[in-house]
Amino acid sequence: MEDVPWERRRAPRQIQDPAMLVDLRRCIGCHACSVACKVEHGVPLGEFRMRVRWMERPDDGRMAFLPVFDGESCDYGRDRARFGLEPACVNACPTRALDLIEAKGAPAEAKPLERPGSTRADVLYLAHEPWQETKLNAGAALHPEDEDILYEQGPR
Amino acid sequence: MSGEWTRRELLKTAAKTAAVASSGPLLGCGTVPPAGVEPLATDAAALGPIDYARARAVPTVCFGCTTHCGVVGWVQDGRVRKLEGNPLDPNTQGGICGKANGLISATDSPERIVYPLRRSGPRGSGQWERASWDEALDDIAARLRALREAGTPEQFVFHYGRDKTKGFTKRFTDAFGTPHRLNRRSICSSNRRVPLMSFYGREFEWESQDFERTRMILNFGANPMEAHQGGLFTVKRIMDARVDGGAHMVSFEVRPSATASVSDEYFAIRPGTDGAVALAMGHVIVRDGLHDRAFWERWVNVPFDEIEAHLASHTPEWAAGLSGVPAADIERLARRFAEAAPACTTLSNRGSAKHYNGVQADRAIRLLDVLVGNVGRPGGFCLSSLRMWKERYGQWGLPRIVQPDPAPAGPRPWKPGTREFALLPEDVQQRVAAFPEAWQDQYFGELATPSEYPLSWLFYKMRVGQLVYPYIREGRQKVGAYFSFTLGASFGYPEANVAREVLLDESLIPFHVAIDISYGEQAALADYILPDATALERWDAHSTNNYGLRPYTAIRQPLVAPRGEARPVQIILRDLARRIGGGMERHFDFEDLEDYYREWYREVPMEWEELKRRGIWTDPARPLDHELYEREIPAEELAGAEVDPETGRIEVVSKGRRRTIGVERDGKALRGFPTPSGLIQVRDELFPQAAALTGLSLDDVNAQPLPSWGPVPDHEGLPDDRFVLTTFKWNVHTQGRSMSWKHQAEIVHTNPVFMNAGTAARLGIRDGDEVELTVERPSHMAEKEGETVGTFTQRVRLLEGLHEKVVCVSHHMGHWEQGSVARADAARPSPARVGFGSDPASKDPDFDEPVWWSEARGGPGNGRALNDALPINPTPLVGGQSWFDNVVSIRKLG
Ligand code: SF4
Ligand code: SF4
Repeated sequence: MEDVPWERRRAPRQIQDPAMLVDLRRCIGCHACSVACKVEHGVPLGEFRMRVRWMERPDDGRMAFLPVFDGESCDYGRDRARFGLEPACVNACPTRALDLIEAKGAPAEAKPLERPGSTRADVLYLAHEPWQETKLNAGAALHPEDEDILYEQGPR
Repeated sequence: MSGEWTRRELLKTAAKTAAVASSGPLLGCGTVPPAGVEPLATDAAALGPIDYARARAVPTVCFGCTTHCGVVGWVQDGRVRKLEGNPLDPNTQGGICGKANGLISATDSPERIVYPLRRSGPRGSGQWERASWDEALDDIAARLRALREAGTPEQFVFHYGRDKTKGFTKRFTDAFGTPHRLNRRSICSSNRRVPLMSFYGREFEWESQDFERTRMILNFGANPMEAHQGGLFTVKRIMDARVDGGAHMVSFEVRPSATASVSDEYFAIRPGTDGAVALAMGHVIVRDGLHDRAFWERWVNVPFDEIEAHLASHTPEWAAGLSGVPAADIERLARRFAEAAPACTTLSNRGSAKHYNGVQADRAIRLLDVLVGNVGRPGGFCLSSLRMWKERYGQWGLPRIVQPDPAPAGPRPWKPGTREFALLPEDVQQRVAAFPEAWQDQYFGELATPSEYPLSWLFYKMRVGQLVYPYIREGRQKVGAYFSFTLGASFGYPEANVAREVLLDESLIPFHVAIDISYGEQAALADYILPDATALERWDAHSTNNYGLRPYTAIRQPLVAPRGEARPVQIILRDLARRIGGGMERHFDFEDLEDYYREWYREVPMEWEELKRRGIWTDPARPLDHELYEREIPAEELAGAEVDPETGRIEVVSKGRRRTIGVERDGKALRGFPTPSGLIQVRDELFPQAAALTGLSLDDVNAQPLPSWGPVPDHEGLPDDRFVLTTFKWNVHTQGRSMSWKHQAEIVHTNPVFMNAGTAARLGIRDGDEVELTVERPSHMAEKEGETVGTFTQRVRLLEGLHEKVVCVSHHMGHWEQGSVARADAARPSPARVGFGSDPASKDPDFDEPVWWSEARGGPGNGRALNDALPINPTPLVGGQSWFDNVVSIRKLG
């Protein structure tokens, strides 16, 4: 019988030096990744291991979308890797904007956000713009009380 | 802001104080869980990690919204733990959205209704008692049987919000003998379907642009990146075309939607002027000779000279003055579009269509594709199979998907001389009597086929949902029993208060049964609530268009058994039909839903078990649906056909009616388009004809046979202190329904008034200020001048990218019923939680304390309900709600 993808037996995924490659040219801000992460791991309300920020562009007032990953709680889907599966966020993304790769295989133009403490250094963004860093709060990139340009995430 | 994770701890204390005072509805039976309820843990942490070696993967069709994507659910220990995209789905290609997993919240919610409930106090008092299924069904069947036995089956009204049983509910209403299976198509999409059906024929009420191969997309007010009308089917193809293929995407929108934001160009367009811009682009294309004349002459029902003359006055300068889109950009984009042909396509949806002039706007947009001849071509505006259970236009050889026999005949039309016709109000009788006989053959009274909106039902029965309650109140239709099935009219319809007033009035609605999964504003006004199975617990058939341009079909199958005593709607209706009897039961002769749906798929060339295993059938060997109109008609279909020598139209006479089956071109019998002429109907006399028969002025924009533009009446000369209020839906929500899904509500839970920063500065309004919007009644619907509908008060959020004359509010927040998550108010749990629900001992800690965005915890709360303040405003002839025409004044509070 013909193979169906979810029945495939897979070897555990082994990545020596993982990096999350985020292609911002493809991200549509849909939150499929962050919801999949929360459902997969039972993350309680008020906490996120990764989430998607909607930010107002300073140049034309349109939206830009920025998936951010928490340095402590996000382990890039170790639990799923045991079964040979990609991380929940990567699996969910409808435009394939996310990919977990070997850091050394990353395209040269992929860069981490440089704002200290705002996110992790092993998340590499394709096409991120410098203004996006200035709009992230230092320190608490995933806290619901963060300044979030578009959504009402709690008292300001 | 410190980086410490302390807030949750702090707020837990606040929660304990807040949760004590309960002013919940009075309940007939305390807070003790009913017998037979197994404990239900809904917290993924408590359930432990998903063991993918042990969990069972079941493909099904998502119903997180009406897109219906193929998904795969992982089931472990009898619980659905996770939904992922089905990579075999040719539309999504394995993607999923942010809403889908909300189905797990809906299924496992501790506040879900899982027992039949009967009201035990006055209607709307919130007092309920549990009923057994036998009691409930016997009682309801007796009420319905009485209507049938009295010879007035039409007094049974079945109104649904979302029904994807693919005809099962129609089987019930047809067998019962009532035409009143009402829907909400006018609320969503009738204004964009009519232009398509008028141009291309009834078969093509939805298009399937070939995004994969396109080089340019002109988007007028569609928001596939966020909205749910098939959006997820297109996002990967669009983004691949842009990022990998270098396609250029341009969006005309009033606000910086996600789609406008990912486009290469965004123009903040004045609301209601999309059609003008499209006509001006058409003008440029024709003026510069960039059109495809050969395509036009072969496939369009209007001589080219006629459209040339029509477009002559629609200059870029004219459109620029109306729309604010610079004339030079209109010129440039029109040329770029034509140069990319045929690998270019338009895209449009509610932004262009949900206006007084929206039907014509979409006709003008559709005209662009025809002018450049991209229709059906690779990378162009393609048309693909929507339905597989009919004889397929251009799709011979497809398997049929058909309901099991015997299918009921359904009611007779309400023609002059019938009993039903005599019951109609005098003015309605006069109007209907003047209709052509072919129209009268489709007329079934004012709720099903409102005579003032004939284009809402002449193509097929789309209804005008927002008029149902006013019409019942006016006495246009007497109601004996009313069913709400997955319907949120009392919350989400324009002037939702009218729906509630009518539902509360027992002289108008003597009996109200709600079939739904969860408690909400609509169920709160019922006499009985019957708990439906969720999409993860039931069977349905599914097929729709495929942007991969090959026919396909999918099945929804249960992943788990329904919670508690919930039952799939098909079983509820089957058991009602058997109790009502009188012949109805003959159409419901099945025990098991799997048997029933296996019958449906009997002609699909795939073993049933294999279909269940894959969730999807498609035929990769089939040629793509390009240029269906150029395909030849097989000889056997041409027996007895006649060819009109002048037009080449090929006609057959069947059942006494002449029917066009194709067009002769170059001596070949071709499929053409399934329109009366066999051609693309850029000119359609149906519009002036319908206007004349309903008393609409022939000068009105809606009465024009050629695609036209005219102003939204109240937008002309809009004073400085008046603005246009536009509503929208967030990408993680599926209207109001998803507000009780915890992960989705966590991301977006409130609805500020978005306002252009420059406009706010002029009005002295700052970010965070509270404002009051006062919504005016459209002048053509108003009884007196200056009539207002209602007000809406909320805080302002400034946005640079919004059009300066637009204010913008999402419409699905501010529930006062539904669960405690939707209300952000754990102090007043849903009635299902207090005594009737799944399990008050639920282990989901997210439900045990107020959600972090609740006011009790210093959050912004759950937003405010908007829809009472929005006027009922059907577009003439078609009836689609003109959601985006609202004229408002703004007052700063405090
Ligand atoms: S799922 Fe993909 S497209 Fe959606 S927000 Fe996440 S990264 Fe962006
Ligand atoms: S778009 Fe709708 S149907 Fe598709 S996965 Fe999302 S919620 Fe489900």
